Amino acid sequence: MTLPRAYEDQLVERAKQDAGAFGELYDHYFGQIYRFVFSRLRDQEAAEDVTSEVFFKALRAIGRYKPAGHPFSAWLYQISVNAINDHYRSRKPTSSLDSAVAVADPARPVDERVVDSAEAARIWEAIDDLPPQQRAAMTLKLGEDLKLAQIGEILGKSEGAVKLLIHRGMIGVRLRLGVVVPIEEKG
Amino acid sequence: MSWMGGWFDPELEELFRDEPELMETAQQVRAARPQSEPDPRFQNRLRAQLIAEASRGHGARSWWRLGSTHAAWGGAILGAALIGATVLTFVSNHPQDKTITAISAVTAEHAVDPNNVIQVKFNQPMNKTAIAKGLRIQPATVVTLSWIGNNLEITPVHHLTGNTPYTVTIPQSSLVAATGAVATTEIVIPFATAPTPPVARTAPPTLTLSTVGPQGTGIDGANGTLLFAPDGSLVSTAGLLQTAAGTPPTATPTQSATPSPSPTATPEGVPDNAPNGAGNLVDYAAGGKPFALTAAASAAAYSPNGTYVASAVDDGKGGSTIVVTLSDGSQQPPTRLTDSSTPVTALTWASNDRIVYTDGTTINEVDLSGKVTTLFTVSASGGTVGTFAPGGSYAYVLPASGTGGSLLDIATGAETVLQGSGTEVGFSGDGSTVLWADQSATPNRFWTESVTQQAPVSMSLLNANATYSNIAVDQDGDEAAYLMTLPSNVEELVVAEVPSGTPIAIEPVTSAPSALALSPGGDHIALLGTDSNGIVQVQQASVPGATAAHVAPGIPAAANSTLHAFVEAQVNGDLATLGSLSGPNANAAANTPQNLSRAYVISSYVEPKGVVSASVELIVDPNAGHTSVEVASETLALAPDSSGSTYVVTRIASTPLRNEASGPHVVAVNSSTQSGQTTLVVSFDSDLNPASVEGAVTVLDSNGATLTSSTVYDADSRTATVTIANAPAGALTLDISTALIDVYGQTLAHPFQTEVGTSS
Repeated sequence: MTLPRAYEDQLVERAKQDAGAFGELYDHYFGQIYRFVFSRLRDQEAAEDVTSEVFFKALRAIGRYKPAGHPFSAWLYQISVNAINDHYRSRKPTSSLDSAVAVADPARPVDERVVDSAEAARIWEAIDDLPPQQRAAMTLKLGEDLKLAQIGEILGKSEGAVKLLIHRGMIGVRLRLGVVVPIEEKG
Repeated sequence: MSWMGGWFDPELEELFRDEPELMETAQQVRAARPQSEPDPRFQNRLRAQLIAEASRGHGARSWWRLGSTHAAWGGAILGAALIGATVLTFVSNHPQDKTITAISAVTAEHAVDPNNVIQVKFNQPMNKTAIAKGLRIQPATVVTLSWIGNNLEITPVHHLTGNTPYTVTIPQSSLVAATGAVATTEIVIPFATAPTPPVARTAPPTLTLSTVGPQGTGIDGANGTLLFAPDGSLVSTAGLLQTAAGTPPTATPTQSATPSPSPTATPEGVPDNAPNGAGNLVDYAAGGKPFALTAAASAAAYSPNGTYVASAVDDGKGGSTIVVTLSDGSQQPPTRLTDSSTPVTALTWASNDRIVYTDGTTINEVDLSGKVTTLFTVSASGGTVGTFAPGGSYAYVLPASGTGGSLLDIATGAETVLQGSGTEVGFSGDGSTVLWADQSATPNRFWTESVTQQAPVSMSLLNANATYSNIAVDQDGDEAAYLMTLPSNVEELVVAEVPSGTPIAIEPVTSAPSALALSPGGDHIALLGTDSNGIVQVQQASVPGATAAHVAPGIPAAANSTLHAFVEAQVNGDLATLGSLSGPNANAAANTPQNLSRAYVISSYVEPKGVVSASVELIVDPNAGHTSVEVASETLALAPDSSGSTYVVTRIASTPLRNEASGPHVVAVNSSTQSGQTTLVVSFDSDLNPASVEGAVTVLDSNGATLTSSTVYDADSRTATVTIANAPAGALTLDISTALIDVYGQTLAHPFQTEVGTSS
């Protein structure tokens, strides 16, 4: 759910001077941002840490924020994406493609495995292993149901570039889940 | 296409149209996406931390920046107290309701203007009745509550006491959302008013109205309005002129526009100034003879540079003619700019060469060449254009019926509803501020806001049960005049500060006043009033300045200066200054508690040998480590130093800090003696039960004998004035017992006794 743009713009302007207005923005976007962060980190404590960081960064930077035609949520997502990436850089070693493939069961159709929470986690771990831009685009699309244009606003890319990121990301996930064997390994 | 819960994303369908296996993976990924609802405790905690951060002034938000006095709270205090107090977050137990949150900008502020309105902003609609029932302020303060959306406005009826710690409390049981959700903890908002010595308040001065015009000729019936000319003289749109011999003026204007320096439109059809009885636009030149500018006008205004005056005069055909003339009256006849087939009801100048006018339906602009442009037309059901903001950018549109008129941005056509507005609306002379009476609420209330912002602020009114009319605002919008009609039908003319509502002057009037006007500087007020002969006259009064600060009588200026400098140094912990102001036997450092927030001198008097004694309260505001107000009582003696011209503190004694007891406190006692009558003015920090005051006050002579006295309590200033006829010379003792109670029924915090002098 988004706020009416005109109202949101007014609210953001007020939030530069008025703590109450910032509180209203927080009330509106907290759940959205938290769920996005959690979908990326899948750890409550980490999600809370990063969500806190996102809103504190937003608070400290809102005086310089200019809508530039984009919704406020796009800006929050941008901060979130960066904060998540920072979190990964500082805390999580990159897992290898081999390890993902090693635990996959190529013989089992993916859709049959979704009901298994462990399998669900493994699918998103595969997303975690994607390059940052692909990971962000995939998460925003499949975790947040955002439009391609919105994702482009957040990532600073064209809609076509976002399509490419998602396309590559989807192939990457399938590779990591072992659904397909990498071409270079054939034959 | 539907799959797994009905999810369908046309963008991905399109993207993977030729790669169904990728679409399938997308579906799997989405179906497997992590789902987790945030912990509401985390949500609340983070919100509190964010708002606390905001309140500490990070970023470019001047509004959040705290004053220097706030440093007294210290970093650790901010970290805890503000989170607990500035941001008030509550998790409701109601399964379908969101968290109740509230914030008040005054929380933990140490220098809140006593004239402020306290705002508490909730994040959702609240049960107003429940909150009204539970809200309390300590020291006891009578307030009126009003709401703008989810924002609660707490307006002290008699303003706050200066230099006083306050606590607003709304108990948990009263924090009920409109949905029925109940908060799980109470709201506590501690703050303190500006740390200046309390001023002994007196009743606002009165206004002395006098009839304008050397001949007292009145105006044409009850018609017309008043305005102030750029030179300060008063102008009536329907003034009558008489010669010294009682005959009508003979200066019949010609039709020539020759004297006009720039208006060049044809003068044809310019109405003459009415020669007799019908009224004119009359300038009552200060100290000179009134003179006519144009014929009687339905509207008039001066150009921004003061050179011209424009008016809408009767064209004799049921419409109006817009004319312009030199403001010094030297151009006759005026120059006709344009005609309106319908009567013009309001006009103003948009610039020095353009006039904006309306007949209530259409807003037109005419320049000095006579060129007319239509700017705006009100829709058939859209109300009536009433008045213009000077400058012509905004207009007030009266509602078609009832209340809820709107502020019209003429250029854009955008309208903003002025909540509850009806006929009582005024603009500042610079056009930047609008002030209106909310007639939809009982009691009526005033709102004011900048015309460019939709952020109304309520203005405190003197009587919640009165009705208000005839709003006039000064040039920059910080002072207003209005007519207050009490339930008894007594009418009072009030000049007050905006937005605090602090009265500057009050005058009962019996002349059926109307058409109030306030000079640009707010130093003169004018009105139309009916004299004893039934003639409507133009009346004017000077507006006195605000109440002067009290200076203790009989106290040498040098002693007074040292006393206040010493107390200020105690609050600031300035040991060097304390040392320089102390005599050899007064150990100020050892007797001054640390971390003082404020202090006030309750009383001071001159002892027989010229020593000045003073009673002082030293206060530590609440903080994270100590949530109660702490207070120490101090007595000082000041005597001249060896030079004889400077006073130093020769004796100091103070009690340890203690928690301030609940209930009213005496904050100042001032005395004066004139013509054998001694008057003691006792100031309190709380709104008192008036019936309890007189019986609690006793005055004793130096032998301990009770003196005959009378006591009158003034609720507005929270002062009791004790009058003792023929008081003996020398010190008196003022005794106030705990029979005195506040409006909540709390007794005086502790019995009060002090000596006071009787010097005149």
